[in-house]
Amino acid sequence: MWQKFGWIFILAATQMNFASADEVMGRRYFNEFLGHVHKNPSSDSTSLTIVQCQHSVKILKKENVPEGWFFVQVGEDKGYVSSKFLSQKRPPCFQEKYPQFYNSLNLDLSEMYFWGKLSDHYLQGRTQAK
Amino acid sequence: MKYSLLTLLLFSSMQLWSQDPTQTPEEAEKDLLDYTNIKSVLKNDGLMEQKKKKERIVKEIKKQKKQISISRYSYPDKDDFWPQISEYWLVKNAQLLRWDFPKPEYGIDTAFKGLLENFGFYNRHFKILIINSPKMTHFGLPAGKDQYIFVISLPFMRTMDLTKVDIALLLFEDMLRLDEGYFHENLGLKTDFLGTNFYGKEAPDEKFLKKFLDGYTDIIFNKGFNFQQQFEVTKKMDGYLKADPVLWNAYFNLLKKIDRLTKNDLLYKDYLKIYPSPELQIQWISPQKKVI
Repeated sequence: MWQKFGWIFILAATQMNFASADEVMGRRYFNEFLGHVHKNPSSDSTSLTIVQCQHSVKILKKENVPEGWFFVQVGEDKGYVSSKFLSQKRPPCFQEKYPQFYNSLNLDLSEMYFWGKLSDHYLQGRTQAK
Repeated sequence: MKYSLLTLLLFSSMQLWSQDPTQTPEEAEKDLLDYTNIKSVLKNDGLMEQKKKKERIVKEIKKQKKQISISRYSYPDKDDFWPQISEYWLVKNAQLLRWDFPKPEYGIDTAFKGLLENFGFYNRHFKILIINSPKMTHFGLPAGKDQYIFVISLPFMRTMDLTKVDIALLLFEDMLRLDEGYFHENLGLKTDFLGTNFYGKEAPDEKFLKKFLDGYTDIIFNKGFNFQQQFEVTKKMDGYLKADPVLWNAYFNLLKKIDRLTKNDLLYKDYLKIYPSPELQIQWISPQKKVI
C-alpha cells in the first residue's frame, strides 16, 4: 500500500519537474555593448539583468512571444531580449578588442544600467541604395 | 679474527685512495658514461632536429603570446573611439538629458532614412535618441565613418510643432556639420593616440576621459558652432535642397520658426549660442532681390 503511494509521489514530482523546465531552443550571443533582459517583451519594461556583448544566452521555448523578441535565460533570470540584439555567431566587441581601455572606463552599476538602456531607446537606421 | 679485520681495513682504505677527492659522486658517475659515443646516433635519429624545431615553435608561441598581451593595451581606432566616447557622454548625462523614458513610435527614423536616400547618402548608419529635456535641442555626435548619433529634444519638437520632414531636415543639417568635421575641430583635442598602443606607458585614466567629456559638454551646452561654420552648412543645405522646392521651402520655414522661437521663448535663448544665427541663415539662403 505505502509502496504504491511512493511510486505515485515520485511520478508526480517528475512530471512537475518537467513542467517547470523550459525547453532550450538554442543559444545566441548578445551583440550590443551592454543591454537588458526585460520582464516583458517591451523595451520600456523592467530590467531583470544587464548583459554584456558576447554574453551567451539560452533561447527558451515559449508560446505567444511577439515577433522581434526572444524569451531567454541568463543565469537565473528568464525574460525577453529584442531579436536585433542577438546574433548566432560570436560578435566582435569593444570589451574584447580593447580590454585595458575598457577597464579605464571604470563603469559603475548605474552607468552600466544606462548604457544598456541606450540601445533600447535608440531609433536606428541604415540607408541603402534604391 | 685479527687478520680478517686488518684485511678489511686495508681494502677499504685502498678504495678511498683510488677515488679523486675533488669529484662529487654525480661527476664520477658522469665520467663513466661517455656521451660522445651516442651523439652521432642521436644526430642520425633526427632527434636534434626535432629538438631545434620544438624550440622554434616555443619561441614563436612566446612571441605571439607577447603580441596578444601587448594588443590588449591598444587605444581604440577612430571608428571605435568616437561612438564609445559619444555614448559615454550620453550615459554620464542621462539624468540631465532625461532620455530614459517611454516614448511612442514617431517615425522620425523612417523619415530621415528616406531623406538621406533621396539625396543619395547610402550606407549611412544612424542612431537617434529622443530626450525629454529642452537643455539640448538637437545635436549630432561623432560616431565613426558614415555613422552618426543624433539627439533631439521632445519638448523642442512639441514647442515648435515640428513635422517629421522638419525633424529630418534638422538632423540632415547636423549630419553635414559632422561630415565637415566641425565637432572635432571645435573640440580641439589631440587624437593622434587613436589606434596606438600604451603597453608599458601610462594607462588612460579618469583625467584623460574627463578631458573629452568636458570638451563635449562645452561644445554642446556653451560653444556650439561659429558663424563661418554655420554659413557653410547653411549654404550646403541650400545647395542640396534647391533641387526639391518642397523641401527647400520646408527648410526656409523651419529657419523662420526657429528664429521666432529664439526671439520669443526664454527657454531657448541659448540656442543662438550653439547655432548662430537663424536670422542670418535666412538671409544667406534668401533669393537676392534684383534691382532694375
